[in-house]
Amino acid sequence: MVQRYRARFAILEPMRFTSHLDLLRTWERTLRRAGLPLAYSGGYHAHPRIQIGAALPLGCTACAELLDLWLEQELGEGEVGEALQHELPPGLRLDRLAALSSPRRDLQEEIVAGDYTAIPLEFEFPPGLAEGVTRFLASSSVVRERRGKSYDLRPLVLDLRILPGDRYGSLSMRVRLGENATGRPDEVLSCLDLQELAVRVNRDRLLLRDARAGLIPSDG
Amino acid sequence: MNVTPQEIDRLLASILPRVQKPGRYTGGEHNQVVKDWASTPIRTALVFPDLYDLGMSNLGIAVLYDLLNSCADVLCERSFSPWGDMESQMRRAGVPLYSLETHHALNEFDLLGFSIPYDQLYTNVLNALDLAEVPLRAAERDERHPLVIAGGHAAYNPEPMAPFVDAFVIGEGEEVLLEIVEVLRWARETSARRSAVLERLARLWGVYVPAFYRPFYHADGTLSGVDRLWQDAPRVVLKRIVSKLPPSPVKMIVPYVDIVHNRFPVEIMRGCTRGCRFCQAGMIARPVRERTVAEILAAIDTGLANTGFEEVALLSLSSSDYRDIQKLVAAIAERYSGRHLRISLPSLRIETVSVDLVEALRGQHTGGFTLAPEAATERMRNVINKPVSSEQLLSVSREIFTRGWTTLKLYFMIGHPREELEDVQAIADLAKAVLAEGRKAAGRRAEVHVGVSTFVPKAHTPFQWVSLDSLERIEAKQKLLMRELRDPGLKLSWNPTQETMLEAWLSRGDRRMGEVIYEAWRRGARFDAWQDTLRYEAWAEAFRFCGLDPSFYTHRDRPFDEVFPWDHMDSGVRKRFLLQDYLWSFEGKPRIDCREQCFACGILPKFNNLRAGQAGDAWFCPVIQRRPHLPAQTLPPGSLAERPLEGVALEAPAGREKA
Repeated sequence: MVQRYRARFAILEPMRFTSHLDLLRTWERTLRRAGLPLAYSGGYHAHPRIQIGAALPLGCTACAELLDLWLEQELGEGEVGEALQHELPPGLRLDRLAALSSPRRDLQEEIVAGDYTAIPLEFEFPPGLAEGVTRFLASSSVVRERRGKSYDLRPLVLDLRILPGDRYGSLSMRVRLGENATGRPDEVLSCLDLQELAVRVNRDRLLLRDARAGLIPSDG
Repeated sequence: MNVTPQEIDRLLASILPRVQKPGRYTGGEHNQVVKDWASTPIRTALVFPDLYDLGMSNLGIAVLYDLLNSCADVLCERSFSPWGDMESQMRRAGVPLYSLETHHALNEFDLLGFSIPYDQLYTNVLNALDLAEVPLRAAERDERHPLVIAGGHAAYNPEPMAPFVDAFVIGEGEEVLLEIVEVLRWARETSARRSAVLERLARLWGVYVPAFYRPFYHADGTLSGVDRLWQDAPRVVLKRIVSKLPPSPVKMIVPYVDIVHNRFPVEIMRGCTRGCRFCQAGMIARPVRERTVAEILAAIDTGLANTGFEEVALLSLSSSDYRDIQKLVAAIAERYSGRHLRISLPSLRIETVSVDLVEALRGQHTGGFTLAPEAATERMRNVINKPVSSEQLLSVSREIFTRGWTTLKLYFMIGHPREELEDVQAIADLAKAVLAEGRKAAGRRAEVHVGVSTFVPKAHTPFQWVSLDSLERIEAKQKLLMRELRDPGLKLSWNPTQETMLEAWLSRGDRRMGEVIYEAWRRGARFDAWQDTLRYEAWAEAFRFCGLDPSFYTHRDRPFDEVFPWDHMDSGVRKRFLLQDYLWSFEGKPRIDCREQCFACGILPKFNNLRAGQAGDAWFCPVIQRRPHLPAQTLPPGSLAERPLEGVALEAPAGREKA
């Protein structure tokens, strides 16, 4: 009996520069090391059934990412979680693992938004930033180009604000995530003329749409 | 004036987002070994002078990393060459070359061990030293600087890099590296001067310290001889070998980023008995020693549990010659069935690819199959001593294509001595015949990838006297192949002549070549093995600046009595044997596999004491009874260290712990 599980995990500093595909591969290997009976897809190029909720842009760490995985046996959540804990690489932290009952929507469909925080490393944000943020939020459209295609960034940004912090303050944003409509933090930073600034970007949480409760944060 | 790890991290935070594939430069992978810097007395770094993507695919580095870290008082960290964009950023920001594990600047280590599998990496070695802020020239280093040692196949002709390396390891590193560590311990305890350390190193079997030797030349530029500047240095350095292959490493680092070979490797056999005349690896890696099936299976079991890799690679120079290859592959396939484990078996010898073996590999998703016929006419096969018949090749191709593979990769070589255009035409015809077999089985989906490399004569081989084929002839041969192999089912790749020239002058270079390498590096030469980055003009200018002519190295038939710049490195195979084999090639006379008949190449007498310690069939060389009147030797003849050395153990030191 194939059993589905959902894991909430963090991506830490050692894996900041791990691409999405490489993250997937890292999880596959972690699961194999843990000796867990991965379920495989069919076909000639059979691959393990693991689905990462939303791709994380290269260069970001993350606090509350989600993935779904399928095992060929129904094992207890505790057992699976414990087996994984022993085999995590330095860049991953497993915070929660729950068995899910099927049928259920694809995780990727459930995720609709994400919260990011950008912290400058060397210098304070330039003085005009607050105005830039206000201007951005006031615009009805912000046309950008990415990979040769034009798109409107404005509707993809649901919230944007500067927060005070210990040293230099931080920039916090909520963007849409999903097929054909993904707001990227580097695009927002570029829009605000911050692309040359050395920053650390972290995805704080994902937001899932639930029919009744509206938006549910992944770190809730 | 050392840049601290904290400072390096601070600078990297701004740099890494700006470079390609930054995951190459971070470290922090699963199974990396991080020891406490402050409390670990002996600090070593293994430097692979190419990108992380290539270095992490190299089994040699993994073996030595494991070995060094197994010593309680030693730490071993890794470093690789940064790509051009990263190098610019590093230089601009003042970030020195650093280790991946703890981001310590390389010049804080006691020992830097460079692994040099082939000579096109030489400028990268210089660049790495420069980025590490270590003086490039060995003579300019003192007690403040790390010891710079180098090993790998390129070390068998160490002279081109002699000005820059303190000590070379010739041969296998698994035992001698521990002896080198012992010297470091002694050096620490006694605060030894650098010259004293070098003297200790020079006494170790398998270590060459170039500072104790000076070559001198005839007026025509050929080598007259090599003077010893320290009389206790061995006249000839005999390569180091281990009598039995030690346990295979099982705790390999699992990279975060994709690398060239992303899998769990096991070396199933070392050495080769085929005696192909162009092949340096086959000549210098003798004798053949196998690991047992049980050892290999155990290593794979533990290794996969430690890493989670989805593919295992069985490595050797000719894997199908491994006596139990059939049994091994079947055992692996059975043990991991249902686990979707891919088995990769590169370096298959056509004659020993049996139907059963192909059958066992079927369904293992091994990707393409690669075979290396090299030549396509009987005449050339006898010249190069790789007598695989066309019928054999076609038969094996058939077995492969009829079992579901649609792509076959074939390696051929052009530019061998006495080769005519008709021999090259035969290559094209044979490739097309193989494609025809493929089409019978797989229709239009069949593909044959034809890799035609240009033969470059190598040191320590029967062809070391040969001139490189003329560039006009090489280009004519390549044009012929391009014309003949135009079918959509055929893909042809070849070596541009500039790449060939580089390989050719480096492979048989002498110590004067060191200045050329230095000047080429100064003019921006880096990553010469990569087509896009080879700066041929930099090399041409370097030759002019040094007053040397590249064709002296590349296009000259050597007289039989010429003294070679590598003659004082002993690969165990006698020069007279190589010369005889070369003369046989004139007659087109092949030499059979030496498992069938020993040809006394020289290995046995040199290493007989090691051989005698092993069971009857552990080596492929025959057992020779020791003549009773000769004393038992603890070291092979030829190495000067026949008197006991204080502080240097010939066995593994007692303090060594197993990982």
